[in-house]
Amino acid sequence: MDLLIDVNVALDSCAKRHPYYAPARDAIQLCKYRGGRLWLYTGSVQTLEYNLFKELRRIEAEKGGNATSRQLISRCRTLLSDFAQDKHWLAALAGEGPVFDSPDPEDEQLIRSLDRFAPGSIKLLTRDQPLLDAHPDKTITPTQYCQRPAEDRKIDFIDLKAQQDAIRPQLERNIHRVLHHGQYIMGPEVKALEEKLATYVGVKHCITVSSGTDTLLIAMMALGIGPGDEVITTPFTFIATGEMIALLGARPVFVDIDPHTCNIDPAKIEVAITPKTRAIMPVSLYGQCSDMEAINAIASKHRLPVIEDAAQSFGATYKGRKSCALSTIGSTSFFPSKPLGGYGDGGALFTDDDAIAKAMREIRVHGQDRRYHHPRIGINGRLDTLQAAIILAKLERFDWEVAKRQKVGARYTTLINTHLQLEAGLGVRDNIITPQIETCNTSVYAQYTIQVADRDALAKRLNEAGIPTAVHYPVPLNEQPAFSQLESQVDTPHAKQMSQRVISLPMGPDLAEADQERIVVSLYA
Amino acid sequence: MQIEAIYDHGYLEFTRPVLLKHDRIRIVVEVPDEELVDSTPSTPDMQQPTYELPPEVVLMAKRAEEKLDQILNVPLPDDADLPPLTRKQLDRIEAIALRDQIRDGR
Repeated sequence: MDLLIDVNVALDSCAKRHPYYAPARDAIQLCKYRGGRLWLYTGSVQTLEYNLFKELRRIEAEKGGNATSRQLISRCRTLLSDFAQDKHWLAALAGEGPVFDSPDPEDEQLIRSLDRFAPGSIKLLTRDQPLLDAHPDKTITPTQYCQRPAEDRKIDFIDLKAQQDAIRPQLERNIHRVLHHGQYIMGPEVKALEEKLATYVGVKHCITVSSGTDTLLIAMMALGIGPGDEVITTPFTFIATGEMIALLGARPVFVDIDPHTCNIDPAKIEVAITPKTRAIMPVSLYGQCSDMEAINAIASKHRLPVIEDAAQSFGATYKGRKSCALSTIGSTSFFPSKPLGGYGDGGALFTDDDAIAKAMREIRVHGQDRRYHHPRIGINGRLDTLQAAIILAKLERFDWEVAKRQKVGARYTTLINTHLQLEAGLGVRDNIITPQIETCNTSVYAQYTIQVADRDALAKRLNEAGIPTAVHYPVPLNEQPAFSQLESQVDTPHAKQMSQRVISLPMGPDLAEADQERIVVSLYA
Repeated sequence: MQIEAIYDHGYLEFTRPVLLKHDRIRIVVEVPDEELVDSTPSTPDMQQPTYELPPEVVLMAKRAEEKLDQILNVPLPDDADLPPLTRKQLDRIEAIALRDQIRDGR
């Protein structure tokens, strides 16, 4: 549970007002310990400053001191800055403005501000008795909070809250900017994002799109892929990869994976090429790039374009070059759980080819090259300006997050393998395989996915311990009912085997070391 | 002389402005007998703590208090080095004082 700190508790804490100081201090530290967030209302800044000043002046008078008002104001600001540095600022929203009819407008603002949170997830920490009496479900005293039993501390599979906390000022600024300028479609943030992403990846063109799924559709439409054509891809991926091929009337040709990386096996691609093959679409799974050099070499020999489905690998590198800059077209997703995600659907396409870029830009706006002139058929495939604004805020932290992801991933591997060695020493069978990252790659660990013999038993055990898991992916695409009519598909035994063995653990740049240790210990409990 | 004062949540305030020669003096306050209660603190938050904290939290609280004490005990900056209070700041100080007077009169 989060706590919104009322002015009286903040002043108790800053001015050490006895006997209220100890419970206030304890409640605040306990909330932090339990993983709750502590909030201060931005609308209370003036009240905090000047009431603390009044308090310090009273204390000064009591002890017979002669500090001036200026000195006390300076002390106030030092105390409040220090107090606020590990708290979150809660913005005052428009709905909390018209409060002049209330008996206490500031109290009314605080109570209303709680409504933007899920019911029960936050309370106002206060010792204002009228507030406590009027809103017992929304308020709590410091002592009452300390007397509350601890809630089970949940680990999120992907912790988007911690990320949001870190960039809240940028997010709110960017979102409100869009609300104020009102260009909700193809606004300036879309262009700004495309420029930054193109620079980041190191390509000439970036075209933002409505979703990762739509990037695949638009890329293939730009290449003119359609009925009667074939596209070679991996079966061990999210449905969208094969789905968009089929949606265009083309035929997905599934090629088995390398069991070490779970990416498409380049050695199996060439034999699958036929006169109908129009493209090769490898997926850079779990955050690690496919062997793009080998794939590009095959593609070049047969004059085929390559579309890197980099939905999970944005930010990763292959031989020093960024994912999405490794082939004819790179495509990525900004689904919220992706390494670079928005707060809704989104995606982007990358290419150095001017003609392909032009085609993709037109396709995303109904095939239009200028207003109401349509040289081709397209789709409604634009990225919302709001999503662009959100992703721009997240991009500011992205390099740091990639570095942290790599650290978290490496630590998982070390902890698990160290544990395995201990288990081996005790004669316990080694049964967990950690992800293998090729030496020429860096991974962004979109997922931290291990292989185990009895996946279902492990998933059950972890879930009972409060640790969420996921399976990416339980059924290869060539075994999905949707593709049951496909003819002449080769067997993909490695994809089948992986689909029965893989399980993904909680992962993210903000995953705490203590939580990571708890997860690894639970693997063996 | 006797002057009326209002007691409010631990503070005494005269009901009319009074100018005194010294900033700190000893005064005797007459409290109506019927207003006295026993020594039990009136709100849970005035009582001695009735909760137990995990040892890690006790340590966190201790560190937080040490950090606060460091700030409270550091000498104040030299007044001559500080900018004068602005008209706005003075207005706000006055406004807060006025607000408290209005609240006390409720």
